[in-house]
Amino acid sequence: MKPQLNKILYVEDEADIREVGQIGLEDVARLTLRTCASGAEALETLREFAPDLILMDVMMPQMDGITLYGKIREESRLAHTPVVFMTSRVQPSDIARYMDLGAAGVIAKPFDPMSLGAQLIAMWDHHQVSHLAREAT
Amino acid sequence: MSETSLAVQGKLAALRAGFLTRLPETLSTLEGAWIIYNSSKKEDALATLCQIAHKLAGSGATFGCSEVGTIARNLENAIRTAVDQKLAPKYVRAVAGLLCKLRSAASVPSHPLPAPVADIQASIPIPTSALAKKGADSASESVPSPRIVYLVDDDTDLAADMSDQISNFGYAVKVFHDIEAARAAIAERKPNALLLDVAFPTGEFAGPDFAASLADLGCADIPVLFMSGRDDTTTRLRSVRAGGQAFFPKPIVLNDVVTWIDKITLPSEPEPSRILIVDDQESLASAYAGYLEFAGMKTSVVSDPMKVLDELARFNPDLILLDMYMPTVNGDELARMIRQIDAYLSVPILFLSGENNTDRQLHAMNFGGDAFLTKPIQAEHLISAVESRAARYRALRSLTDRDGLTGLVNRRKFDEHLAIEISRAKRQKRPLTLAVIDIDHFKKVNDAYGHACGDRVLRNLARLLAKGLRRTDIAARYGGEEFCVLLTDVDATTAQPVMDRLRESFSRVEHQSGTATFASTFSCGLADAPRFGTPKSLFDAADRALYHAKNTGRNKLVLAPG
Repeated sequence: MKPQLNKILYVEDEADIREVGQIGLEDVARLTLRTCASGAEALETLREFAPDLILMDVMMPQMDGITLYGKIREESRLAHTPVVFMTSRVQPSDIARYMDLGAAGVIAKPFDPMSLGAQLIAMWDHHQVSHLAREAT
Repeated sequence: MSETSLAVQGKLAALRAGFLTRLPETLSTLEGAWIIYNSSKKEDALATLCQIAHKLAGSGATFGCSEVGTIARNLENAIRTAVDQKLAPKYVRAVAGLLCKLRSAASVPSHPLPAPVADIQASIPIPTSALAKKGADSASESVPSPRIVYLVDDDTDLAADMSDQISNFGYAVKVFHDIEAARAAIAERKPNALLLDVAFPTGEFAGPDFAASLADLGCADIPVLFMSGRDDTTTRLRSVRAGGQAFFPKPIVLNDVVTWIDKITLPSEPEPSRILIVDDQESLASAYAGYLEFAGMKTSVVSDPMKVLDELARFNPDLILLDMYMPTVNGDELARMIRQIDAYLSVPILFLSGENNTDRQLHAMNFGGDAFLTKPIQAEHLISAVESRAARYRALRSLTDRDGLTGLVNRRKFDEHLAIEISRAKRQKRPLTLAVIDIDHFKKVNDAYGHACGDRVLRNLARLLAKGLRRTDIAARYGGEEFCVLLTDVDATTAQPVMDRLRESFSRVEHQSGTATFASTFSCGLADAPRFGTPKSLFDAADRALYHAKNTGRNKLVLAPG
């Protein structure tokens, strides 16, 4: 059976936005969600929570998304967990930069809470397929 | 809509409502932080600033306030740029402008979207619409609309005379002697203004009755001005009820009528209030300037208090915003200095300071301040405190500084200008020319054609002067048939051909008197500073030259001998 996206870790420093995202992922898409307000909190949570996918804001004070991404990739058990960035900078060059880093996708802010879950599921599916393809070769 | 979806929309709406409720407070924090950063240059203030702007950009967009989101994003960039540019005034103003823009975007009451929407397009400014708007504006500018005035009066002589005079001010005037003719013409083409007598042979209040019936013609929007030989409450009331915008008792003071017609047909943008900002912290002053300019005012920033007097003369402000504590000169000293110059006796002065001590504030007010604003001041408070006072001063000034007949500066005001310009010319080592003009044989015009006609000659000369000179030159009706012109930055030799062209143009103007026309001329004396370095010596020299011109044939210019 094809594995389904279920557990999400969502890192966003701003409470309002975090809540909108939470509504979209929990109430609309019925996903299992853990939210964090900072990179440090995310690293702490990841010690005991193994998500299927990590969704993170890029621009955060103290530890930004890119730094957090680097730290996650350093941990072998999280090395292959797909990461999706959220950003208001959606110039093609920015998107290319995040994808080159190894992101599974980029979601533009402002996002639509009603379709956020569906977007993540699509990205996750795509990631699974390409991941399997890579392992096959 | 499914139950889940309804619940979700409800949650989102609640979040959004919370965001909107907190928005004004967030903006105040932003504005305060920007002012604090400009005066303290503290890094943590800057970090707070950028962070709030960034968050606002994100949440504004998320909650369907795309304009707020976009402006906040631009603001965030503008703050970073301003910091990179070491808070150069231009960039500080840009930030202040965006802060104000944010405030006005946030105050738009109806954000039409019921729930957040992922419309990325909405968060990106679309330049095409701005361009389209600009295109439309310039198109409308290129088509000058003819300004038509219909004048309806059964007094044929009066109507002809008024028509002739109003035409002089650039209007196409059509005269009708009875109401039915006017009604037919209006049905054909709407005028920009309707000047209507009250009483006609057809009825004591036929004018107002007609005006009231304009709505039936679908022409209720035509501005109507009434004139009447009767000036009593009943007549005025009838004209007001008929929608009259103004009432002129006969005999008509034409200048008043033209002023009204101008006001109605040229809803031109009022000239912006001019605000002089004196603060030794230049970037802070620039932030204030940005706020005020956003609100449509014109500003000048002086960071060296020793240069205030020069700038006062150059900029001629409607209000002075004065920092209370500056290193070289104190605000109250500066206010006293300014108040000792007659021309600035009544210009409003607002003090800005961190001073919360009421005694200290009262003390400062004794020395000529009009109000005390406590730093850090919020943009909207600053704007409202400045705007109302500047507008009041400006209105007052235009009433007391202008000659009623010609609209030129009057003698008292001209004397002020003369004193200010002479001292400035001296300080800046620049020349300045005074021309004194007197209409030749004006008494004969009055005797032969009547005073009304003489007034017309005066107005024609005034218009010629006002149109034929640079904006920086000052033309005044000095008294009777005497006019003065102050030409800045030129000596008498350079000014001579300019004034001579005006003399020639004036001699070619045909003045109307009934059906006859006649010409008039003027003589002119010129003198310049610094050769004549005081108001009195300059005026006397020009006046002597004028006298010489009068004695050697008139209709000519004479330069004061050096």
